[in-house]
Amino acid sequence: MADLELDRAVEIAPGVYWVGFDGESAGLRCNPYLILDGDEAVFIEPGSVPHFPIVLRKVLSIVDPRRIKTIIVSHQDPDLCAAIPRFEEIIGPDLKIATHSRAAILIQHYGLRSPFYHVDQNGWRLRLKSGRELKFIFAPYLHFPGMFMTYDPVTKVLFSGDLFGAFSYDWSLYAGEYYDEAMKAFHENYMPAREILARAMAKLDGLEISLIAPQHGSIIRDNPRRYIDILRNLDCGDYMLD
Amino acid sequence: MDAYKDLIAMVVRREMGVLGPEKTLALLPEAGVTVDQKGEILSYTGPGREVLDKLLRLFGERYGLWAVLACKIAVLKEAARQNLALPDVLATK
Repeated sequence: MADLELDRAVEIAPGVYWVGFDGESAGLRCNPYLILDGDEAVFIEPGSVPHFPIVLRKVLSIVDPRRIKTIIVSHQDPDLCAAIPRFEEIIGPDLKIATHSRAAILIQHYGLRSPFYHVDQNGWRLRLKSGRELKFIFAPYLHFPGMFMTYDPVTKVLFSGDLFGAFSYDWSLYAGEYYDEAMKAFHENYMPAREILARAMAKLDGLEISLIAPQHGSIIRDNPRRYIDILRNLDCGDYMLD
Repeated sequence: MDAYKDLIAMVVRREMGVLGPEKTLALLPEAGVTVDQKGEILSYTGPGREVLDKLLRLFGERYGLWAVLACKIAVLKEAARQNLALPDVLATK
């Protein structure tokens, strides 16, 4: 961890890059990722307007942006979507935005010009030019009705959106000893109910996962199953406390 | 120590994750809480409800609203399970 140069893009799995940032006092950091596949690239959760210059610099350091053919966004929140119109100006006309139809109807209000690829209308998968397929795992109401995770069967990376995220004033790129507590704090505040969370965790059973790459917090590389079990049993949400 | 020990321990563990061990352990003496190097509660001075209230207030004053909100739901649920009165600070946040 000490050897990582966080002012640069970090390759977290073969051909998969973290292009986020450090150095903020904010408790809710955002983690954009880039998948390189031959001459094609997929950009996951690009980020917010204030972070656009940093993320852009890192993207440019590893790929010609015209190779990005798809942006995947797990839901419509500004911390992952607001920079899309700016990236559209750089990426070019072949771009599509992959998201759930429930999110697309909201994301269009950012003023995008790229067409949508509705994951729920396309078999919950995205086929790249090489034939490689990314799979989408529906996780409704966590915390948005159209929320989904993205799984890459080649690298076994699970891009989990807000799931497995954390409040992280004491941030590190990879989850440390106390990450489970920071993760619980985030889920208690943003996820609706234990039953809904447990249902999504059950969908990960049987899936071979090398890394969990959330949109907030730290990347989980040591024993991902332990964190899945923590969320499976977490009593989240406060709707019954009023 | 009294029935609030579990709630105080819960807050300490949570802040170890959210704020990090260094900030968390540095603040505990001001609230009268003594822990071992892993953050396990050894003792605290005064009634547990008051200690818990002071602890949460200090974290909030020093590190902001989210230092309190990060603990709030877990503390509310555990307090309800144990039928314990809440610290005043959670009634206003």
